Amino acid sequence: MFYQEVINTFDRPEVCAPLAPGESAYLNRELSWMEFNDRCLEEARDKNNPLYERLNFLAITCSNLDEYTTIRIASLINIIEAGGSRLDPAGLSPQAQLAKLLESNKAFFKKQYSTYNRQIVPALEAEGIFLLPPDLLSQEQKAELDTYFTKRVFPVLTPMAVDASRPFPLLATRSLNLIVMLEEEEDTSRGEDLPPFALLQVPANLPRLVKLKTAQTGRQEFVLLEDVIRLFLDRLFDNQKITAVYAFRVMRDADFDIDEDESADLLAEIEERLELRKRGQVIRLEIEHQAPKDVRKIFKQVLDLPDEQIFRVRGPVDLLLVRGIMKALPRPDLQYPPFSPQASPGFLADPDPFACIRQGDILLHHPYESFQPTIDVIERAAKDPQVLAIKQTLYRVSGQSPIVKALANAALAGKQVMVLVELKARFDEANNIHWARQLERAGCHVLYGLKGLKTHSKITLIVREEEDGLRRYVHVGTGNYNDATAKIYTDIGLWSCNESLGDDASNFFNMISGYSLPYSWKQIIPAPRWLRDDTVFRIRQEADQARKGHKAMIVAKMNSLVDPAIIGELYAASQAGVIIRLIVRGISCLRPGIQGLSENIEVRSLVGRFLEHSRIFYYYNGGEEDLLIGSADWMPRNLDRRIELVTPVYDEDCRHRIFEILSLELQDTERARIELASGAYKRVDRRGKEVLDSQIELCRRASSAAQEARPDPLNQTRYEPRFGPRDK
Amino acid sequence: MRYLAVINLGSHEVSLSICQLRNRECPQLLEKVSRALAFGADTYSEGAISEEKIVELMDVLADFQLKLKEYPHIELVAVAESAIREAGNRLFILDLIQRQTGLQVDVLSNNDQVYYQLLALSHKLQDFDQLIAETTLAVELGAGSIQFTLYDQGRLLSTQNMKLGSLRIASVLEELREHASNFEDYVLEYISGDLAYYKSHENRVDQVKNLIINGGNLFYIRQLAGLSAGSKMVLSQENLQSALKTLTRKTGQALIREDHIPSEHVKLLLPTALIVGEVFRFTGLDRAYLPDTTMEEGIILAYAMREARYQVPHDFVADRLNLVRSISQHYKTDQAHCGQVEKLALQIFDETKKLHGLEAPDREMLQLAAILHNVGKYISISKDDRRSYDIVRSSEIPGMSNVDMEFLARLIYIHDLRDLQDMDKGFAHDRTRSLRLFKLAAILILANAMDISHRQKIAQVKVHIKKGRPRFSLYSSADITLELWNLEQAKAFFDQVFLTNSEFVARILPQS
Repeated sequence: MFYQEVINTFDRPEVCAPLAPGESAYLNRELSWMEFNDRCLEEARDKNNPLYERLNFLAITCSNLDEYTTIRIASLINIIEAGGSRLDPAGLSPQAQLAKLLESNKAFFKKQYSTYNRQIVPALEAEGIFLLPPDLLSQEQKAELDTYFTKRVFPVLTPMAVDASRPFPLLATRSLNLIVMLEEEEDTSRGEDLPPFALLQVPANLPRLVKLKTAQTGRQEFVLLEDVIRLFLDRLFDNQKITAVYAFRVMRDADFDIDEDESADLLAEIEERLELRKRGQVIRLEIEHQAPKDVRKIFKQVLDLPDEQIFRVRGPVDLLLVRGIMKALPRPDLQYPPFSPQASPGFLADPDPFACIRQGDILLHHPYESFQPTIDVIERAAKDPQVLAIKQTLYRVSGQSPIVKALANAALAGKQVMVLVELKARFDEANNIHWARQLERAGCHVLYGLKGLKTHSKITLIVREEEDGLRRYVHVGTGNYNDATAKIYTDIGLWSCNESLGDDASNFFNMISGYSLPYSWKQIIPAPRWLRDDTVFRIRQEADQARKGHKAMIVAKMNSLVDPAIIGELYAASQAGVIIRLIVRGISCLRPGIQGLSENIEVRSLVGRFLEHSRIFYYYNGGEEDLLIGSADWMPRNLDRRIELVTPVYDEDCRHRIFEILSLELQDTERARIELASGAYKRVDRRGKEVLDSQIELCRRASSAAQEARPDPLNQTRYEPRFGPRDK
Repeated sequence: MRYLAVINLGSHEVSLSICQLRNRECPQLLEKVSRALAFGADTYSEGAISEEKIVELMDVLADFQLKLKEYPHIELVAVAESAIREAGNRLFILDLIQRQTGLQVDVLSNNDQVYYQLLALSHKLQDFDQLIAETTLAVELGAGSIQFTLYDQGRLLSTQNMKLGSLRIASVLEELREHASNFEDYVLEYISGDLAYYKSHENRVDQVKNLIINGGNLFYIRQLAGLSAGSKMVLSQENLQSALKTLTRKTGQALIREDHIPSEHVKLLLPTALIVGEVFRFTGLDRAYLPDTTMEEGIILAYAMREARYQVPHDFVADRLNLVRSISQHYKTDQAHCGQVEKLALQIFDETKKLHGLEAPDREMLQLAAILHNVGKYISISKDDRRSYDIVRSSEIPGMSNVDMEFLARLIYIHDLRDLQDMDKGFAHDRTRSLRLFKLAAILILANAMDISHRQKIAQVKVHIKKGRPRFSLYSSADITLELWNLEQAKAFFDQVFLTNSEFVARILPQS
């Protein structure tokens, strides 16, 4: 039984001293996020990972931090500027949080660049891949670059001089730029307190890395685009002497609020705000380490930026350049062995996917299993004359989404298609606006989200008229309807035609269409009204069981654990004797293993090849073993400010598979890190344990299951003839 | 596959229910959507529905029409309840709806609503017929009014409407709520008058053994009492007191925020809870069944009975008859005489089908008229026809529409007609109805005339029609000379209506 297995594999955390008076039982969310990014960086430092995967992890930490800076740090700064002083659950004021965060950021940058300079670069060079600085280029190489510069780069460069008559230009967020320091002309009196300089944006539409044709034999050699520009910069500044050039970039505040009550046209409002995002306050400056004080002073003055928000980097600005290496020089030998998402045995039983679902609920575990069956069901529904209606919530959609195309086709075929496209999905706003318009043009009934709430649920409803009556096919998932991320995120999707689930799905879509809320639900538990109470009830139920001396256990997997009230309930449950094992990929504000508080709680994070994204909740419930999946993390925003959906899983086969997933992840020795009471993480102690990488194992099992369901004809012991229809 | 949609413009919300119909099978509810629109708040306080709500209503109906497109070839019924019925501007609203949406909305009478409510709850409570074998009070708590329906020994005894719905009370006493700290006391005082009158009027309330209470807000009362949605649908006095405690101690905002009560229901809960409390008090009971049914479910069932040959277990025709007998008893009519007229009228009806060509619903109407034809004598023995009309017209008989009640009242009003000079008592501009009315009246007149002595002398009537001429054979073991003479006077109307020349002969009743 799952319960016993989890108990048997539970390594009770090392218990540390009880909380000191005044010490908080909660960790700061922002610092916890930095810990998560640090775990990602560790993967970049892990020599056991293939080199290109290490580059990828390094790039992930960069883009993570960029997004984090433009949203979270910007938000903190805004709060401080507005006079906010409320302490967070960890007892820190906004000022204290910002100070710690910036300090943590600086340490992180140092580690990041140390990883790049001392580990990544030498590792690349060991593989014959070199990034050459200008002073190591041969004459031949310089000549090659001269031609490249003249033909490709020079025509698109626009230097911008800055002086009293030409103000500091608006620099695009995250764009790479050069500040070119110029020699002051003797006979002119500029009367300004800043030295003369010009700015030059490094073209984003040219490759960051220029591959040299004139490389030495056996080597792949690259030069950074900004270094190419540096080599020939004097051509842009006739009659002026360049004294120094430094690369830099700025990060701007990308968070915006929309007053939905005031905006008559939400679409137009968001588009306007996207434009404004380009002009947000500068939050961070990254500049090459060599830039002296007087150069940094320019930015401080013009951008009104304090020292703490200026980051001096010992290496190329913006390490996302490493992705350029991977793109320019494909090396499968330096990557994980390829893995293609496998066929789902559940959908192989019959060419008609609806018939497959009627045989029993089908669980899809991505990326181990392909997302294609979900696309197939929707595409099939679009063409099926028996299908009356299709309804779906879309949060983040891929670039060339086959789902959107299928929905549009369904509408064109005369079906009633309703789609809720969440326009406020951060950084996907433009993408979602595009899809929303396309769906409307095709005749879909499109809802642009709900006022005041983000719709984060992942649910599809297909209403089909069948011989024995109307049947509803429902998909509930933990991940977005995005075929691209479905290949790299782990997620679970459940297809079912269970009547109660169908009724609930119908009511759910009616609810988000603006009708009155249903009195109650048969199966699903939506947020923001019901989910928090349900979660608290279940945790307390376990605690009650434990107090009575009965078995009690909670196992939960999610992306983030932040909600103080839920954490408080978990603490109470732990104190009552409930065994609590949590798999939290990212932020955890819970402090496990504290005497008298959380001795029975283990928190582990899995960081690996695939981004862990699924949400699973298990409660022993006196042996009933309630098992639920859904879209919500245990964060205030999910429980109180978003439309979310969690649903129980009843089908035995599906439950068995989810237990298997949890079991493997709880026994993972390679990808897992255990959280300590301080909020730091350590690797699992592997002594006495079988080596287990849960992601590799799940890949293997998915391949095996697919093989079993559709065996290779060459390996069969008996050949299977095909019969014509009348012979069957 | 057949689909039925029911749109209901209620006093408190507008709803759309969609179900699947199959021949002879119970209709299956597929989905129900609703939008809170408190028409009643306008009607009960201002007498008309505001423009703002009308605009919102049109938006909701447009949304409903979009939803209806999800189902192919859907049959549609649209109805409206008391808030529309009592609104001064209802004609214009109904006209607007028709022009903009094509929907023909049928404004239900209270009798219609009661019938549908009882149909739904009798269908839901599987042991309904066992329950009503004992004295059972069914209370429907609506937004505009409350309805008390009493059963005993399987018979429907009475049904009474009082304009004390939760929304009505909340709207009328809105001003008091703002300024009074003991608002609940005012509500109790407001409702106690009518409730006390009901109790004095209906003395069988003391004997009630089973209490059934229905109404949309009860779900939230249960929630406040800590009962989960999945638990058995019963409310105890203890549960109610727990809910009342919360309602009197918390503000509306606190209820919304902490107890997740939808804002549109918050103001209605206290009046609802107080009414339930009063019902517990005057019945002396401490628990009630909560079937949680809606009128829309009743409309769907009625449609399925009519159009898909579905049969509900409970006999509503018998209910109507029992209720009418109860009304007749209430007004102290001569029960033996009414019974005799009833018997003879039905015999005449059955025996003269070739003459009148009327159908089963007409037979039932005749039966009801026969039972009630003398109720007016309670007020005036000599001028009872008009009094009977008034009493019947203001009676509540579930399942009888306004049109039916008018017909019944008129039928009773003209049961003493002697000749066609009183033709203006028919339905002007409605020849068919007038013809039905006079045919039934003619039969009723004969039946009544056959018991002029009120001694029930005639045991049986048989009719032989030869060449269009009916010969009535009256079987009796008594001297019916008076009755025969009276029939010769009374037959004129019958002969004029059926263009015939009736004959009446006495026959000796055979010894059994």
